Amino acid sequence: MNGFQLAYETYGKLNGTGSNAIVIFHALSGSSHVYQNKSGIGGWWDEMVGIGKPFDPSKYYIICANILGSCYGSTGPSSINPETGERYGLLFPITTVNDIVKSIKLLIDYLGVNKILSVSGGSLGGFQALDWAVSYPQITQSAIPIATASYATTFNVAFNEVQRQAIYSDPNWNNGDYYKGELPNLGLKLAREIGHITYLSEDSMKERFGRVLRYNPEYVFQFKEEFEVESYLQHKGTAFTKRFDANTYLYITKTIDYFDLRKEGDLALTFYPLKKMKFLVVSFSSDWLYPTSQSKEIVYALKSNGIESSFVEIKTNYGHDSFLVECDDLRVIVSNFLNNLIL
Amino acid sequence: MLERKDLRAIFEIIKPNSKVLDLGCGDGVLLRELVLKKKVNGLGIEISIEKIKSCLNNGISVIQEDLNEGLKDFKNNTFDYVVLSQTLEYIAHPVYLIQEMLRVGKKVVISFENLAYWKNRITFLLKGALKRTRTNDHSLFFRKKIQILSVKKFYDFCAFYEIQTSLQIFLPSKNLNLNQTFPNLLSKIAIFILNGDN
Repeated sequence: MNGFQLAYETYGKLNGTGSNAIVIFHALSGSSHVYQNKSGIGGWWDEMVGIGKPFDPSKYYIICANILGSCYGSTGPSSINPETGERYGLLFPITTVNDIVKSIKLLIDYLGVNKILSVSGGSLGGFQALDWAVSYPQITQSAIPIATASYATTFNVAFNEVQRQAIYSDPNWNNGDYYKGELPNLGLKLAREIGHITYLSEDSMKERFGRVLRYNPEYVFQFKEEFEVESYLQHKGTAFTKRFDANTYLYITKTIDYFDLRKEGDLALTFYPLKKMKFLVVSFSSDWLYPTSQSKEIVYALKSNGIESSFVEIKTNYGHDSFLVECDDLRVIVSNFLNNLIL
Repeated sequence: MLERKDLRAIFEIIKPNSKVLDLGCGDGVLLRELVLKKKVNGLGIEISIEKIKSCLNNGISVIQEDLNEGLKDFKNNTFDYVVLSQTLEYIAHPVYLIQEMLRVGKKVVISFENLAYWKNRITFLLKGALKRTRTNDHSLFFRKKIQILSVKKFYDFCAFYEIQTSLQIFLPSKNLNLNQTFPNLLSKIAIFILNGDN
């Protein structure tokens, strides 16, 4: 690639000693807009970023970039290739988590930041936080990986694969060359519906939708949308096609699949150079996409190197999405951890 | 300054710059003192999320685990000291946990309330039941003691499993000599130091 663009947002000010910078990484469908601030448009992590919140812009200089390969301002498959004047489509290279992290390091350098107080993110954002820690331990004091893992499991790859198949099978997808015609929205919608199920939990779905029928008081015995949960998924899927690009979905799910931090299969070896860092690892009890066992693997690999690390599993019902939902426990835990870092 | 006498005694036992694992560490006060004053490398294990918040607030590293599941994720001989202070009473399989502690620690420090303490005996005699004497309710999860421990019982346990105890401290230590002679009768709280497997 001949250069690329990164969209980013920052909040707060870098202090005199340059010691208060925090990098936040987003997940699959996120953007650099992590915080509402004065924009009036909700940020994706307003629960955690804001005045009086853990990531407080009155205390910290907060940086969030849209990841390379995404479709919210950074260069990705839906961007115009300057060499051809056409959209990249499948000519865009597949990026790894490490590529993304390296690109954000360039941004950090550009912003004149040489020390990072903490890095954090949930899900794919947690992959980046871990990869960042492994890549830049000398300049990074701490990391807070949330609802995440040190590698994509077989189960993760399997779910990503069926979601990609949904997109491939849409005739409009046309091998990624669809920008001039009809978009593969049916495929993207189905992919998102599948993905969305993996972000919830059995309990939260039961609680929210039960077996409630949406339109008719009784079963109609036809192939129509009947249950609440069906129309919810349809709605979520359709809404997603209005804000996301199908090729981008393919690329980022691949980015997830390729992620594996283990050196020779041993995570403890990976973490060996991180001796001076501090970690806070958080999982959620109802998360079956990145379950607690994955977080514990991280914690014990850190501990086996004598690295200062804490681990908490928060009891919630919201599944993998818990990290995005209002959660007082998460706020207190992250705040207390950040307050003990050395500014 | 540590409020609990047994924690103060444990604080004295632990050597500077050592690696300490505190099981059921509560709000992390013992570890905080040890980190601040003795520069130990400390880690706590705690099950209650509220206590974990306090640990983090105290700047202590803490891992959420259920001690009833043992210490399976820790390698042998990882810590200089593994501490279990007034928590053994609440553990479902105490023998298993102590064996796990001996596996991961070079020294194991266990403190517990001695139910054979003479005041407890009198209370039981007069009232037919033991009142709660523990000053500091240390875990929200286990409100009821499920193990009845006494100095004699603990000695018997160590003898049965051929575990070496290198030091015992009996509190209160005012009448030290008498206390050491009749620890099962005269000590309110006992602290045992056991030598690890390695």
